[in-house]
Formats: sequence, C-alpha cells, structure tokens
Amino acid sequence: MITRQWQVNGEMREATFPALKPLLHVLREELAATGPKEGCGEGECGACTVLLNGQPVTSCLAAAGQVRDGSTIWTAEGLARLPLGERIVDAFMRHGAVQCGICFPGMLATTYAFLRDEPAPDDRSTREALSGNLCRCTGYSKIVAAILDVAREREPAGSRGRVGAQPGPPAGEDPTLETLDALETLETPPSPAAPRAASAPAIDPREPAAFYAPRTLDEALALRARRPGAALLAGGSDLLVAWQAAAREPLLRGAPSRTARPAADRPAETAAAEAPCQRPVVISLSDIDALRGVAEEDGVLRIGACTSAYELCTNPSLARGAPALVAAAHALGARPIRHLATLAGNLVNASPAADLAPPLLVAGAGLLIAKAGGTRKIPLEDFYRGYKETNLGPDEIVTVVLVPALVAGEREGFRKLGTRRAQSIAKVCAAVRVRLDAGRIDAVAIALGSVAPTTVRLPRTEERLRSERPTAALWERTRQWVAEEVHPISDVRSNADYRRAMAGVLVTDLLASLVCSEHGAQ
Amino acid sequence: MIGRSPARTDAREKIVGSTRYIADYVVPGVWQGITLRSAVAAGRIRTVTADAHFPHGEAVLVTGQELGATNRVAMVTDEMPFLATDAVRYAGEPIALVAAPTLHAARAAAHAVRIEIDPCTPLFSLQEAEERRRADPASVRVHAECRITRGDAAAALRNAAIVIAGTYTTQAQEQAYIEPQGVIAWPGQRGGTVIEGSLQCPYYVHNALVRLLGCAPEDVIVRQSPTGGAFGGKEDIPSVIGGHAALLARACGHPVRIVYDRHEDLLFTPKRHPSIVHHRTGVSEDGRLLAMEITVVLDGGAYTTLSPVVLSRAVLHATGPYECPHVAIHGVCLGTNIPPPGAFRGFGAPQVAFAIESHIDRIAHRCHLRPDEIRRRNIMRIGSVTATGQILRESVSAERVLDEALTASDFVRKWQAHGAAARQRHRRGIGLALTWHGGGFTGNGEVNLASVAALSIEDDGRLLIRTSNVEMGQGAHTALPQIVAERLGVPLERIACAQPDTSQVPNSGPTVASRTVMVVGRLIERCADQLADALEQAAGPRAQWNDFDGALDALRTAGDPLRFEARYEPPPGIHWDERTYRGDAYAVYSYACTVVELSTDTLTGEVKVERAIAACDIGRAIHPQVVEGQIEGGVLQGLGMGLLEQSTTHEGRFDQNRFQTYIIPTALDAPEILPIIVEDPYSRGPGGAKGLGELPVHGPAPALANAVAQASGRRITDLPVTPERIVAAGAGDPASPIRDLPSPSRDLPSPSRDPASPSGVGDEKEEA
Repeated sequence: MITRQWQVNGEMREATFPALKPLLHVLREELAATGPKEGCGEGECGACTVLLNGQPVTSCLAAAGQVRDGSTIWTAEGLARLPLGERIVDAFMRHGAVQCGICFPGMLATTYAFLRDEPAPDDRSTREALSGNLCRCTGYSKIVAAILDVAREREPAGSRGRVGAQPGPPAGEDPTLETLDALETLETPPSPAAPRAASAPAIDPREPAAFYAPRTLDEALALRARRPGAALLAGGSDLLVAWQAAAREPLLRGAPSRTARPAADRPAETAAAEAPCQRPVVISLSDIDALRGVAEEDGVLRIGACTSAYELCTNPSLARGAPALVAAAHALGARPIRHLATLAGNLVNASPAADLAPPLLVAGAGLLIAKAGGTRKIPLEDFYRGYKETNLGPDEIVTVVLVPALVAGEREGFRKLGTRRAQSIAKVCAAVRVRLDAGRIDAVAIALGSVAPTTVRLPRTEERLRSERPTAALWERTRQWVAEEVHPISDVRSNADYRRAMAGVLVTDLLASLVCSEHGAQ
Repeated sequence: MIGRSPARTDAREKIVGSTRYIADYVVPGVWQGITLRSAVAAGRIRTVTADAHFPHGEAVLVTGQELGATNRVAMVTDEMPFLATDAVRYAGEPIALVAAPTLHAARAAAHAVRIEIDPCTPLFSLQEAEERRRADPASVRVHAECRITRGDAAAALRNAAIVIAGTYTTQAQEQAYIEPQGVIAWPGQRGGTVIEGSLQCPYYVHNALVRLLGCAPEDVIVRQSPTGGAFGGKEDIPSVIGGHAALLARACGHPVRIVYDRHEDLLFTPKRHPSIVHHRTGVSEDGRLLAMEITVVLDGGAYTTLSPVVLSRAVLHATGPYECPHVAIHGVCLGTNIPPPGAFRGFGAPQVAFAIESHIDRIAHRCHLRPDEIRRRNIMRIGSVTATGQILRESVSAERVLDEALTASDFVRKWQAHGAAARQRHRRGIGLALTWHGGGFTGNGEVNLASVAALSIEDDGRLLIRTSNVEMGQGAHTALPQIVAERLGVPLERIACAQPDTSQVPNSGPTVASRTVMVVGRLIERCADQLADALEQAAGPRAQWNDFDGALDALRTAGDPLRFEARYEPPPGIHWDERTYRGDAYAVYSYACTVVELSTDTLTGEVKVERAIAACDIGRAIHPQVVEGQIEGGVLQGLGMGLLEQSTTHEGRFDQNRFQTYIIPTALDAPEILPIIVEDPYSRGPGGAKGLGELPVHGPAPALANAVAQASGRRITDLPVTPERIVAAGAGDPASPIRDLPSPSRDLPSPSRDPASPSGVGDEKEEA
C-alpha cells in the first residue's frame, strides 16, 4: 500500500491504496468522488474521464501509484463549480443533451479541457474532442450543439475558469522526493484486510509485489538491474488494461481443457495477463522527467521515450520533421488516452497494430537502450523479433527514440483504416516516406501495421519502386506488389483478404498523394 | 404544458456526478457477489462442490441444488433456471454464486469450487440450425412458431408476372448501455428481500423473486435505481441477477451487490435476436404488391426467455407498412447454444424492417420505379387492411412521413443525380426506409397486463405520479408530469414522479414496448381527470376557485380520498385472436421515414454517413426536445447496427467481448441527424400521443444499405454493412458492372439487359 496526497477538486486529500489500483477506483472508493463512472474499465468509453494536472485522462487506465504527490485532480463534482464548468452544465441542460446521464461526468471533464484549450471550436473539432467519450443514448447532436453554444458565448477574457490556475501546489513539484531506500519499503505484503483462503491466497491483483517510482534514469537502471524482468510502467494504457482484465477474467468452469482463443481476441497480451495470480514487480517511469520531451540535433529528432502521444501531436518540431508520426499520434485513441499513452510504451508493447511504429520505421528511426553501465543504439527495425516480442533485455530501458527529420525533397504520410472513425485499433495502417529526383522515385520506405506478426517494412516493394516514374500504371502494379509482400491474418477486427487488399490501397494512396502534393504529409 | 420543452428534472445531478447509480451506492457491510459459469456450451453437470479450502464464514456459496422447484425464472415460459443444476445449454450459463466482503476475496473463494461437466454436441448458429432442421425437424428445439395468413399467397405467387426472392440476415446487436448491469439485494423479512438495481421492469423482478424465494408478495420489495441506459437490455436479465443477489444475501445475511464488469456484461447478457428473413414477393409490372411469402427465423439461443413475444412482433411488422392482398408469414424461433437473446429497442421489428426495406428497393429496381414511388404505390392508408386483417382506422401517417422526409432531404433530385453520376472511386448514395411500429404490447398483451397507475396528493401539496415505469434516460419522468400539468393546469414544479418501488407504486406494467407515454400516460391523464372531478365536487366549478391550493384544501376538508387510480381499458372495437393471428395486433401504429445520405470509397469499402433524416409520426410530441433526443439516439443505434456493430461467435462465445472490439459509434462516426416530428393525433393517447421509443431504430440500417447499394453498386444483404463485405462484393472492381442499382430514370436499360442484374449477394430471380 502507498499513500499519496493530492489536491482533489481544490482540496488537499490523502489516500492509501495498492499502487496499481486505478485512479478511478481510488477516487470512487477512497475519496468518495463517485462522479467518474466505470463503463468499461479499459479506457474505451470515457465515463471515467477526469482532469489530472489539467489534462483529461481516462482514470481507469492511470495506476493511482503513478499519480505524484501534489497532483491536481478535478472530477465533474468540482468542475461544475468553476465558472466554465457551470456554463457547460447550463448549456447541456438547455439543449436537452442529457438522457441516461451516466457518461456526462466524463463528458463534462473532456468538454472543460476542450473549451479551455480550443480557441475556435467547430463541429468537426468538437466531435473529435468528444470521440473518446461514448454515449449510447443521444446520437451526440445535442451535446455538440451545447458545446458550440458555450463557445459562441465566451465570457470576457480573464474571467474564464482555468483548472491550471486553481490554488494548490503546481503540478510536478513533489515535496517528498523518495530515495531508493525509501522505495524499498514499498515491497509490502498483500492488503491485511483480505481474507485468507488456503487454496488460493486472496491477493489483491492491484497490489504489486513491489512498486518503484524512481526520479532519475540512473535510479531506474539500478532498479532494473536488481529486479530484472520487472514490468516497466510508462503511461499504463496497455498494462492497466491487461492487469484489470486478468483480475476480472470470467469464472468459467467445467471445461475438459481450456479452449484456446485466437490471440487477438484476448485482452492486451502481457506476461501479467497470462498469470493473473502472480503479483508483478513494477517500475514506474512516469516520474522521470528526463524521459520526456523533444529535441532536434543535426537533423535528428531526439524524442524522450515517455513522451506522451498528446505531446507528439502538439510538438512543432515534430510537425515539421516527422509529420507522419504526428498523424499517427492523432490516430491513436482519443485525447484522454493520448495524455497517458507514451511513445516507447506503444513500441515496446510490440503490438503489430501499434500506430506509432510504421512512421518511425519509414523514417529509419533508432532506439537508445540503456542499462546500468552502458547505452546501445539499435534500428527500430531490428528491435522486433516476433509477435509481441522485442530484443529488450530484462535489465534494459528504452530511453530515446531517434528520428531522422525530413529533409528537403522528402515527403511522408500515414494512413489508418480502423474499426471506426476514432478511438480504434487499426485493421491496417501504413506509413510512406518518399523522395523524388528528376521525376523518378529516388528513395522510398514503406511500413505497415496489422499485416504481419510485427509492424513491417516492405523491402521488395521498395526495391521495385526505386527509379520508377510515378504513373497510374505504377500504382496499379504497386497494389499487387504490396499485397504479395504482406501476410495478414483474420481476427476479430478484420479478415486476411481485406487486409491484404487494403495494404496495397493505403500504400498507393499515400504514394500518389505524396508525389503529387506540394506539401508532403497528409 | 404539452408541446413545450421544460428542462429535465434529472439532468443537473447527472451531469455534475451527484446522481448515484447502483455502483455508487454506499452500503455499510455490503458483500460482493460473483457468478461461476459453465465453460462448455452444452453438457450435463456432474458435480458442483466446494472443496475443503472454501473459506466458510468468510464467504458463501450458493448452488442450484439447494433451490429445488423454485429454480425457474418467471418469464414468458418458466423454463430458464437461475442456476443450472443438470443440463447446461450455453457457455457462460450461471452454475454457482459466491459472495464475500470484497471482490477479490470472492474470486479467491471461487477457486475452491469444483464444477465438472460432461460435454455434449452443441449447436452454434442459426444457419446450422436451419440446415439441421431441414434434415430432421425434431433435432432442433423450437422456442416459438407462428403463422399469419391473408388470402392465398401461394396461388397468387404462381400467377404473378414477376417474383422476386431475397434472403436477409441480421446480427446479435448489443444494447451497450454505458452503465453495466447491477443490483443490490438486502436480506428481507420472512424470507423476502429488498432489491434495488438498474432495471426497467420492477414488477417483473418482483414476480420472479416472489417465486424464487417462495415468500409473500409484500415481503419482496423492488426499487429502481437511476439507470444508466437500458434499451431493453435491462428488461429480463435483472430478474436473474436480482435473484442471484437475493440468494446470496439470504445465505450470508448481508446486503450483496452484483455489478457486472463490461466483459461479463458483453459476453453473457441478452442481445438482439440474430435473424434470417426470406422473402418471396409477387408484383405486377407497375410495382403493385400481389403476394408476399415471408419466413422469419430468429436465433432464440439457449432458453425461451422473451423469444415468443419478440417473434410475434417480428412477424406482425414483417410486411412493412404496405398493403398486400395475399400474405403468408411463417415465424419460427430456433434453439441454439448461445446465451439467450432478449429485448432490445425494436424487439424483432428492426430485423424484419431491414429485410423488407432492402427487398422493396430491389423490387423498385426491377419495376423501374424510384424507391419513393414503389412505396407510395403500396403504402398503408386510412382503411388499409394489414396481414392480420386489421383495418387501420386512424392516425395512419405513412404517406405523410414519407413526404416530409422526401422534402427535407431533397430525395428525388439527389437520388437521380447520384444514380447518373460517373463511376468514380468515391461515390455518394442516398437511401430511404419506411417503417412502422405498433405501440404498446402486442395483441391482448395490454388487456392481460391490466396496468394500474395512480396519482396522489402528498402532504406538502405535491402531486405524485405513481407508476412502475422507470426513467432510464428516455425522459418518461419529465413527460408524465407534463401530461398531468396540461390536464390540471397546475405548474410543473408541483408534480413529481415517485421512484418506482413495488411497495409504493401500483403495477403499471414494464417500461418497454414504447408504451410508457402512450398507455401509462393515458392512465395518468385519466387519474388527473378524476382528480379534477373530485376537486370540482369539493370546491365547486373551476371558475370559482381562488387557486388550486384552495381547491385542494376543500378536498382535504371533505375527507375524500387523496389518491386516484386508473386501470387499463382496451379501446372499443379492438379484437385479437392469438390462436389464429387475426385481428387488431396493435391499437395504433407510429410511422417513420428515414433517409440516409453517405459517401463510399469503393476501393476500401469505407462508408461515411453524412446525414440522416428521420420523420417520425408519434401522434403528439409531449416534450419536443426529449422527442428529438429519442429520434437522434435511436437513429445512431440503428446506424450502428447497420454499419459497425459486428457480432460473431467462436464455440458459442461472443468474440466481441470488450468495448475495444464491440464497436459502437463515437461522435465522429455520428452524422448530422435531422429529426422531424410529425403529429397525427391518436384519439386514445394522452394529448394524442402514440409510441416513440423504438420507432427511430428500425429505418437507419435498411436506409443505409439502400444508400450503399446506390453508391457502391453492391447490395449487402447481411448486417452489418462492413467495408469487408462491400469490398468482397466487388465494389472496387472497375471492370465489373453496377449491380442492383436502382435505375436513375425510366430511359435507362432495364435490368434484364444487364447481364449481372441478379445481385451477387442476394438471390433475386424472375419466374414466369
């Protein structure tokens, strides 16, 4: 169990909980804030959205142990009392936007951040902002209309309620810096409140065997050396889903032997999910500020491993130097998830559907991987060994992603076919980086997601395209080449035939638009 | 007050998070209940035992063996057990229950429960069931079967100039309420219980619990907690979960909470019945329906549950709002080894609406008529006769909603323009669907229910509406007070709805079947009239009152009763014969015309729905803003069914077991939705109102499929219309001709000159 002090809805509060307990459950069970609801437990529905240090996050996917002392948290209960919050509540009521109401505390949090940050909302940007908050009753029309109404009647500058401006310690300045020794004491036995059963001890699956939240990379590497194989917790948007699912696996009994299920149907596959009763050793990386941020050096973008998908979307250097990566980050989840999900988390999880990997593969990105006593550099392409497998050592941590920025004459783009228009996993996604010289394709890189056990480059197609003149006939052939070079499977999201055909369509679409467009990225 | 849109009484608390749903209740000493389920889809249970490690004293175990004859859930038939004891019929069927102070303690205790099952051969799909039944009719369980006959369809088909056949299928759509299933049961007096939970039908749960616990009716109290969406999904299963919680509460002596997580909810609670609908239709060259032969096959899953009633509504809506002299409809609901499907907004009608509204577009194509022309040629009007022989006498607005939707969408011009557009990769399409929905229970259902509603004067002078009909987001508890306010001329603020609580409200029936405003609202209107009469008795004619309070005082002084009740009375001249399926199936129908405009990428099969228009005649809109909300939400649920909501099974278990894989529309998937309220009053509805709740769900899926057929040149006859299906049908192949595309003008070649005219997906054929 760990104890944290946060400012919740403007008041300092203290709570004690197992480190991996989702923030949502701590708010609801320990802090009596039952405004945020659990609709799915995996960040899909958004009913649990709260503002954490000013940003909307799905609180079911944030491990409460990762939320630093001094953090500010605003739930619907508190937001409704702020001036902007009041106006949103009034507009929702005026427009008859509410039906069953269960999604509205989350809607309010998302809407608050959107109206605070967006100077000129329109129908499209409002819908995009809401795309992480599912509503099954309303068809969204009246919600969107209410939000646009608030935007139209903006009160005079200066009087807007700003969550970031509330009294209390600013985010990120934690007065109680824990040393490594102090962290050791976090290796606690299971919660004493749990009854004991001889056959299977009542382990609270949210209580890790050990939970470390180091402040520096050196501390983290030292811990990694001492606890090899410990789970590295970055944003939590994959691992929390897996741990939650493991704790809630339906209790099916009486089967002669467990029916094997296709892997893609199962909750995010991790070691933890395979052995639900084993308590993980966890090293949280979210307190290491040095792992976040973007710098540019000699035409290479250095992106901290724990930079969030939201930061990728909003970083101006990346918009110039890695527009395909930015487009992919935009296509990842919805805003409350993008604040949690990290670049390295997306890569290390090694899902074949990882949105951020194809743009990095076509850019020829590399990883800096550190361990106590040294750092190595490896091309991202060599990082993946198979389905959900990387060559990250048990004592290593990915620290930096190195991305060669676009140079003059190069263009790149990203496209994703998902299960719906937002908040979706890719059926197929593709990235292309291309350079023309004297009207011929001089250099081209193609990468795809969801068409093989890992995200992949297409070296044969790339080779065939080199020195070709871009024509409609070439694109016809390219579609065939791509389809021949990929090996997709059928699963719960799509089927192999469709994926194979669409891989070709996406790649040719990208190529055609890039070599014809003036600007480069889509 | 009727026709105005005052702010909903429940909205603010819901937005700011102070409304407490069942998972938010703080209940001291509450234990958590969990369900142990069968891993096999079909088998015989050999043993259910707790081994020596079960922590007795710290947890309790309940099995079906202890229940004996009471182990049956009271529903249409009392077939399904609360806990399986002998046969198991689906993977996930409840076998045992465990409760403990915390969820993880309960799960740990569950490790000590041993369940052994001998598996036998399961039956997983409707297609398989149909095939098996053809070979050996006795080999498949039949949950329900019914027939409707008008005229001689077989003979008329033999003589028809044109016969068009088609088969259409729909999937197991999930209600996907955002609040999962949940109840709390407290141990009650004399073996009874108090249940509070997220539910639509307090008296259904009450009835089931009285039977289960074998106690007196007054010793079971059922209360509805604020309900975070239901859509039919909280009609039947709360009786089961409520029973589970009550059994655990009785066993442990503590209150017990059972709240499903999303995974459990998606896997094991009822969904919309999957369907296969076969049509064979005889038409004249000028597009008049001569004969309709329709077979509706529903997948009833493992137990009968509500299937007979769903099937009944399906066959009664199967012709669509079209008149045809010769009709033969055969409905059958087959048993398979999937979790029992149940109620979902529409209740059998969306399935048959998809079939007939797809089919009628194909008939239009064959007869060289526009989609609106073929419909108008056969449309129900005043005096039309339905397949059951019902003569429609009032509020028949099918043509009016058609006209409203055509005008608002500029349908004819767009349909012609899209049809004549060059074949490019990105193409636009427009489609329409005309649908109807019978309000209230089917046939004699309302007579059998004999609902009672009450209006009482409280000590503080408030008027309290007492019904068992719940607020679940649809706005019932905003609309019902408006009916009373209108009738009595009192301010809305002094009228409230009682929390549905079986110890406090009479049984006004379940909150289903689009009946709350139309049927129960009418009862409340009659209660208000009784109150008005009583006031005039006590205080003299209304014109002489000083104010309403003065009149109330006079009533109190007179010592008259302060509670007024009304019981359902069928409209005069309504007759239904359940045995022959002849007569007035519903007192009145609501009508809707839905138009969907979209664009497709024929290479990727992606569909972007740009606009949906739904003109709905509901007699009278009590609260127009709430009505718009119902239409908008219903349209998006229908579009979800049409486009996104894939539902497949693997060995009887749903593959889409999480919200990450069961895909419902986000705000970006939702198009602009234009609701059009049409009011053709119904003489027996409150203020003229008819049923609304389910009506908007039927049209979007077929309108979408029709628009996709125009845009992509491919008719998809299986829902959902996924990009995979559109591409597999050959939409992106530039060499292949347009198929099943309604001809944009009479001058274009007839389909018989188009070598590919019989759709590659359906099985359209011409005879004679």
